[in-house]
Amino acid sequence: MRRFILRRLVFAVLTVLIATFLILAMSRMASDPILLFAKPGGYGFTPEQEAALRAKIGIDRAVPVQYVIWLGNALQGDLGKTILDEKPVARVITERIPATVQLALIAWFGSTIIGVSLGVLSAVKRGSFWDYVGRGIALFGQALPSFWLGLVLILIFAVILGWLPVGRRGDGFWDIKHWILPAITLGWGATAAYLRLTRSAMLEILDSEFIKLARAKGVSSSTVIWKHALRNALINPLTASTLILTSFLTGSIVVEQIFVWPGMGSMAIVAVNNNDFPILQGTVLLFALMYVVFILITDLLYAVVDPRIRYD
Amino acid sequence: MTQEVSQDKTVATSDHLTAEKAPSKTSGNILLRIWQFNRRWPVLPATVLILLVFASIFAPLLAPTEPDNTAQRLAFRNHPPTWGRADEHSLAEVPVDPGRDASARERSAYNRALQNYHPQSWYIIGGDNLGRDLLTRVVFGSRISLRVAAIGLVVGVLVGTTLGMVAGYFGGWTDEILMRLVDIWMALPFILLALALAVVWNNNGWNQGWLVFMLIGLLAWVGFVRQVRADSLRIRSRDYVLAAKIAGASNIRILFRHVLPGTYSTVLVVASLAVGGLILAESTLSFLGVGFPDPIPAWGKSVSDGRAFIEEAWWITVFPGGAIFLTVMSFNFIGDWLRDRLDPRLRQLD
Repeated sequence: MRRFILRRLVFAVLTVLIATFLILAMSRMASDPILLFAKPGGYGFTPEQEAALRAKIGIDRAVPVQYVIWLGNALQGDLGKTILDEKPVARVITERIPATVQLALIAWFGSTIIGVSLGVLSAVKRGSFWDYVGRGIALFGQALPSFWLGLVLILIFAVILGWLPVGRRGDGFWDIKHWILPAITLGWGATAAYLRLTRSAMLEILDSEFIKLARAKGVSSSTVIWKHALRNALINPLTASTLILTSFLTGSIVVEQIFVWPGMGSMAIVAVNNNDFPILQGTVLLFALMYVVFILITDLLYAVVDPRIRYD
Repeated sequence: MTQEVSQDKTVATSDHLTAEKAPSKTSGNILLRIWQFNRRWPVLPATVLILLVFASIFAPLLAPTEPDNTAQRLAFRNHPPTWGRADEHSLAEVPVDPGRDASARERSAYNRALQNYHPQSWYIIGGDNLGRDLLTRVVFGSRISLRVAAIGLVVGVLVGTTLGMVAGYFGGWTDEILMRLVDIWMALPFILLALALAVVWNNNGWNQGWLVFMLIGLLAWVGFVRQVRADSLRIRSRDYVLAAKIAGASNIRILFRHVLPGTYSTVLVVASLAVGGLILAESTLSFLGVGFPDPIPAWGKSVSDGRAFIEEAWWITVFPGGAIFLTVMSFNFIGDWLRDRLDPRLRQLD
């Protein structure tokens, strides 16, 4: 077990390093950041001034050296300053975190609860109305493009019915009107994934010997389903749930774009367009960190919920 | 042996086959029957896909207009769907060219008539924000989607199968390194990297179309590696592989003659399940503006064109998006079906 965790940690560090280096190399290939201020050799822009400016925004050395410097600072909690308005990157990103986390958590809770319970329902009452509702959602969920779903929801609930606002975050966590459409858009695909996982796991387990034994013993139907079967069926959805949360936290770019949600995703798009690489690097660092941490949690969760799994 | 295998399959597919048979005896619900029939013989999704392929091959014949007739038609931007009926702009006859010797006034009258002229077959499902016929855009868009899916699949199958086969066959450090590479690859935030890469691409003046193919290829290969590796691990300990080794066959020969054929059904199933995802990915990239450059019609781009006009022209968003949805759903359906037929072992993985 310890060896497994150690190996995972090495892999996690490697992943983060590669991801952040890739994004730096790419943004440097994209264009010279000096162009954000002035054109080299342009009117009144002396080579001395250019060199000073390059030194100031930290692009006067080779890319690998820049990366090492950045890494050293990042380890001390300093992510540098944004190029355009010279704000500390760490602050710019932390300002955006609450909005993204709020949306991700809401979508995560919603999709987990709805997906798992519909999955159980459709497995237990196979061939019933609920089963077909469940299967319909499972089928649609994987095929609906989230950007289209978001726009169609806006069209129906904001434009035609006029019940909900088109976008923006509103004020506070309890402003349901503002987050309901983005949360549905974000969580829809995951609901379908939960549903499929739960349903197929439930079907398999309901068919197994120990369930038949429990039923033959005279255990009540609800106890069999909720205690004996569901506990075992939950292993897959449970471990998938950490990955789903990660994908919500890092993958809400499209949804944030559609609903003008002031989170990290919309910030990243602006940063890409401005070639403001310190922000990009900070974001990618955060995303990669979240991913590796959640992957580690997932692997450990597996071993906890299913004692048969051992990592040695 | 054969009997064992066939028994195995019945057990594994019992969820889809027997489960669906049972209730159909009691309930005569027509929708339910259609669903069940399609599960066993996916006629509806197959029809959708055949129509799609047909539309993309014969797009120039089927589409009512040229795919990119913007310049002349701005007067008809956001034109509502006519559903094939005549509207006030539908002229019965084509304006007559006054000929070379016509006066300037006649020429300009002709040009104006030509600008405002559109036959009944145009704007059946509306016009887009630049006055282009939406149906044409959707029909030509099918070409883009299919082409991207095809190229992504070719790259994915070639790279993913080779790596998976090598990882499983050689094992040891090769395996370890390749699998960690796959893990790291999956940890990268794809959309963010795609956006950054797009900026690199554009600033260097490279062809934006190739960018899409490359991004989709980068996305496609990962899915194949693990599954093919599992197959390859299983096959390498088979007697016939050992026999080939003893006979002195080279590693490359064993890989391509003995291991590769054993992975065909897995590759087919993974590929058919991956198509839908690739089409979705392409349309998401197009939606975010990282797709093909502008005059080329892509579904995701049409949806994003319509975004600003959703209050006045819903059709620009709804129809191309619906095309994406139908296509992806059909591919997924066929993929599920193939998986149940060819490889029940994979069934629990989604």
